[in-house]
Amino acid sequence: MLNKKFRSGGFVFAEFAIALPLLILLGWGLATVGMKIFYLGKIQLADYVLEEEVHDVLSRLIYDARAAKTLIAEKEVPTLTFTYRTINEVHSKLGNIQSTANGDVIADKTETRLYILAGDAGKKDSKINYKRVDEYLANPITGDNYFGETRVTQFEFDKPAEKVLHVTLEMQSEVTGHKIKMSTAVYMPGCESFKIY
Amino acid sequence: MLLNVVILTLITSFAAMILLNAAPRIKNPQAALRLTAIHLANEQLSMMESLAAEEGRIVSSYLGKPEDLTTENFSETNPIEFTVSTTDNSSGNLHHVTVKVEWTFKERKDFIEVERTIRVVE
Repeated sequence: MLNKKFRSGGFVFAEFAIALPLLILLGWGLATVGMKIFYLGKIQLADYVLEEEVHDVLSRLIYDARAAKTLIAEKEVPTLTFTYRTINEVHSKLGNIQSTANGDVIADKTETRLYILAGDAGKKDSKINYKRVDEYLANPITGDNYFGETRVTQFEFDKPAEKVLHVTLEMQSEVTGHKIKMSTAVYMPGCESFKIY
Repeated sequence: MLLNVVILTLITSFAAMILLNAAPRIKNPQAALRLTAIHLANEQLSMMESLAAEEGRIVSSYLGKPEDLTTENFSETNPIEFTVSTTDNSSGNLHHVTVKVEWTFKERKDFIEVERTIRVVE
């Protein structure tokens, strides 16, 4: 009995002497690997946000431009203003497809959608704002992302052919400094006037 | 205790190996390149649509802007060149057009194909 107590009492110190440095080493290793993973995750998230924002703006633009009746593009402050023809009372008038086909329904209301570059291209906090006619404010559709803050470095458009809008959008991530640039063109079959200033 | 330390270290290192392989876009920009290529193919198709509507003909050569064929997305040091080829299956007024965009990244070839039916006005 006494013998056993004596042995276990002597072993406690030796056990800690071995275990404590190992525990510290393990903790240090875990912390280092964890930091590295979070660092890489931060870059990855910022890159995803950057890519997604460029793609989102371009896909919205394609969708909006395709159906536009008129387009006014200003190069001074990069702005794209699309106009559409719509009808006032959708449910009562458009309920009958035959009446639409006969031309009884006249699309007499116009609706605008606007893309504007807020801030100077390449400067901090430059972002693209989007506005519909029923809203008074143009809301930012890029930037304001805590983990993937971006800036717009280039937002240009051109008219390479009849009824074709060519858009180039380049954005840079504030977190990683990576740049992504995409260009596309949209053919607007129903476009009646296309002005570039 | 010693065995515990060994096992925990092994588990941690395996987890770290798996998680560290989740590469940021700068390591593998294929998804970003594919997206850029899709927008480039759309540009070619839009230009073809415009020509078909205005002049009534389908042109298979590249009609977009020459600078759009080069991209530096997540690859600043070595820009990537896109090759655009167009095939046209004609049938009267409606042309079924396929645009193929090819590129090579780190000696790996990749491509996308975008199809659209274009009506030619006569």
